[in-house]
Amino acid sequence: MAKRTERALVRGLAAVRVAQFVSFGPAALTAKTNTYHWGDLALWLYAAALVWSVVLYTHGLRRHWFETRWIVADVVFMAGAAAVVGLACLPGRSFTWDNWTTGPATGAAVLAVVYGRRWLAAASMALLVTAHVVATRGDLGVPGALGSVTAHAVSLVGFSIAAALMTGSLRASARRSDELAQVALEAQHAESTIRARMDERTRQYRLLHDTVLSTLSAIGRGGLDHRRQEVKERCARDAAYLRGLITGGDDDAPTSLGAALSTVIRDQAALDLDVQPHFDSLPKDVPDDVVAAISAAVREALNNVAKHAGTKHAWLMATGSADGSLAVSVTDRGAGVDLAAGNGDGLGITGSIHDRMREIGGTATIHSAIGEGTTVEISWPT
Amino acid sequence: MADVITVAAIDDDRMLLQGMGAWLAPVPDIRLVISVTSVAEFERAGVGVDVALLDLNLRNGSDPGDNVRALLACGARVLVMSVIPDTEHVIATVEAGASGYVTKSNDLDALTEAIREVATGGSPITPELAFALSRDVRARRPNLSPKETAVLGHYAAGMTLEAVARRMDIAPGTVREYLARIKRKYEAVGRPAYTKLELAQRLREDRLELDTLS
Repeated sequence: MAKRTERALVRGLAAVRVAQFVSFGPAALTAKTNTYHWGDLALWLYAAALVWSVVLYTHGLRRHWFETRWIVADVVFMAGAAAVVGLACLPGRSFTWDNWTTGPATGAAVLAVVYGRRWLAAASMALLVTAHVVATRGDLGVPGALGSVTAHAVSLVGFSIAAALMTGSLRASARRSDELAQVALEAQHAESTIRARMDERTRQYRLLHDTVLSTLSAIGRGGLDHRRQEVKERCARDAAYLRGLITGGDDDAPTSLGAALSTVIRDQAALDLDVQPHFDSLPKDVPDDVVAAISAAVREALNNVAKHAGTKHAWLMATGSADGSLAVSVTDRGAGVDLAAGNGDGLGITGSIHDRMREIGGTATIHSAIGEGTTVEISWPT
Repeated sequence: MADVITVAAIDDDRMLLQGMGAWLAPVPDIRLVISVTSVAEFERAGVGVDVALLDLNLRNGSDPGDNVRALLACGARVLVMSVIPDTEHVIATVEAGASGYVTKSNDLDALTEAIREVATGGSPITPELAFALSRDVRARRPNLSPKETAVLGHYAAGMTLEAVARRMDIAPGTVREYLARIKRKYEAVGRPAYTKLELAQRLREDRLELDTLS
C-alpha cells in the first residue's frame, strides 16, 4: 500500500510539472511579446528546464522517490532560472507570463517539501522566493507588480505547505493500512498453523481408532480369545505404537516426528521385530519433509535389522537438542557386519539411507562389527 | 530352594498381576510368591522375598522413591518397572536405591535376566535406565565425566558393551566399570553419609550453613 501511494504521488507531481511548463506555451503565443534581453537565452533556458524535468521525473517514476541530490539540483536549477529569466525580461514584464519560471519554481518547492527533510524544504522555499523577488525587484514600481510578486511568493509557500499536509496524511493512511494488512497476514498464518496442528491431531486420532481402539473394542465385545497368537501380536503391536506416541514430546501433545516413528515401530512389530523406543525432547516444528525422510531412513534401518541381524529386538533412540537439531539411532545386538569388507553396501545402508538424509541436509553413519550388532546414526541438520 | 529366586509383584492393575503369574510360571528358577497392589499391602503381608518388582507410578499416588525405600527396609532388592520411562521418577527410584529399571514389554528374557542379576546383588543398567540417566537435565544431577557421559549415551542407544567399547576404543570391562560408577554416583545422591570422614564433611557443611544464616 505504501508503495502504491508513493507511485501515485510521483505520477501526480509529474502531471503538475507538465502543466506548469505547458501553460507557458499558449500564454507566450497569445501575448506575442516574448522578447527578452540577451537574445533567446530565456527561451533556451526554458528548453533546458523542460529537458531537465523530463530527466528528473524519468528517474523519479522509476524509483518512486527523489533523493536529496536530485531535489537540490532541481531547486538550484529553478532558482537560477528564476533569477536569470526574471532579469532577462524586458522592463515591466518580469511579473507577467513572460517569466515562465514562476510555475516550475513552485514545482521545485513542492518536490523539496514532499521528498526532502524539513531543513531542505525550508531552505528551498526561501531560495526560490528570494530568487523570484530579486529578479523582479526592478519592476516593483510598476502598478500591480507588487501584488503579483507577493501572490507568486505566497502561492509558492502555500502550495508547498498544502502538498506537505496532503502527502503526510496520504502516507500515514498507507502506513496504517500496511500495518493492518500485516496484522491480518499474521492472524491468517497463526490460523493455518493451528489448523495444521488440528489436522495432525485428527490424523493421530484416526490412527488410534484404527489400531488400539478397534483392538480393545473387539476384545471388549467378547467372543475374541485374547490368548490366540494373532490377537496377542496385534495387542503387542498396538502397545508399541501407543508407547512411542505418548513419549518424547515436551508436553502431552504427540509430535509429528514421534507419531511418525511410532507408526514405523508398529509396522515393524507386525514383522515380528520388537522395537524399544527411547524418545526425548522431540521438537514440534520439524519440517514435514524431514519427518518423512527420517521415518523412511529408520524404516530402512529396521528392515535391515529384521532381514540380516538375526534378532527380534532393536532400539530406536530419538532426541532433540535445544538448538533444534535431532539425533536418531537404530541399534541392534545381532550378527553385525564387517564394514571393512564392504558388506555395508549390500545392506542398502549406503544407498537409500544416505541419500535420504543428504536430500534434507542430514547425515547417516553406520557402525558395526561381526557379533557386536549394528548402529545406524542419523543426525539433522548435519 | 537356594536356586529359586522369590519374587513379589507390586502393581495396581490386578489384571497385570494375574498375567505376571502366568507369564513367570514356566521359568523354573523364579517364583512369584506374592502379588499386591500397594507397598503397604506388601508390608502388612510380612512375606520376605529376594526381589520386588515395583510398578513405577502406582495409582495410589505414593512417591516412587518412598516405595523403593520401604521395600529395601523389608529386605527386598527392588527392580522397578513401568510402561512409560518417566525420566524424573526413574531417576528418583535409582537415587532411592533401586537395583534396576526395566520397561514393561513382552520380552520375558530381558525381564528374567534382570531379575536374576538383581537377585545376586548386581545392579543391571538396562538400556532404558541408561537412557533415563542420559536425559537427566536437573541442576543437582551427579557430575559425570565426558567419558562416562559418552558411554551412557551409547549404551542408551541399545549398543552392547562390546560395541560401546569398540566405538570408544576402550576395553569392554572398562565400559562395565564406567556404567557401575555412574550408578554408584546416582545411589550416592540419595544415600546419607556413611563413613566418619563423610559425616565430618556433612557437619562442616551444616555448620557453615548455620554460620551464614545467623
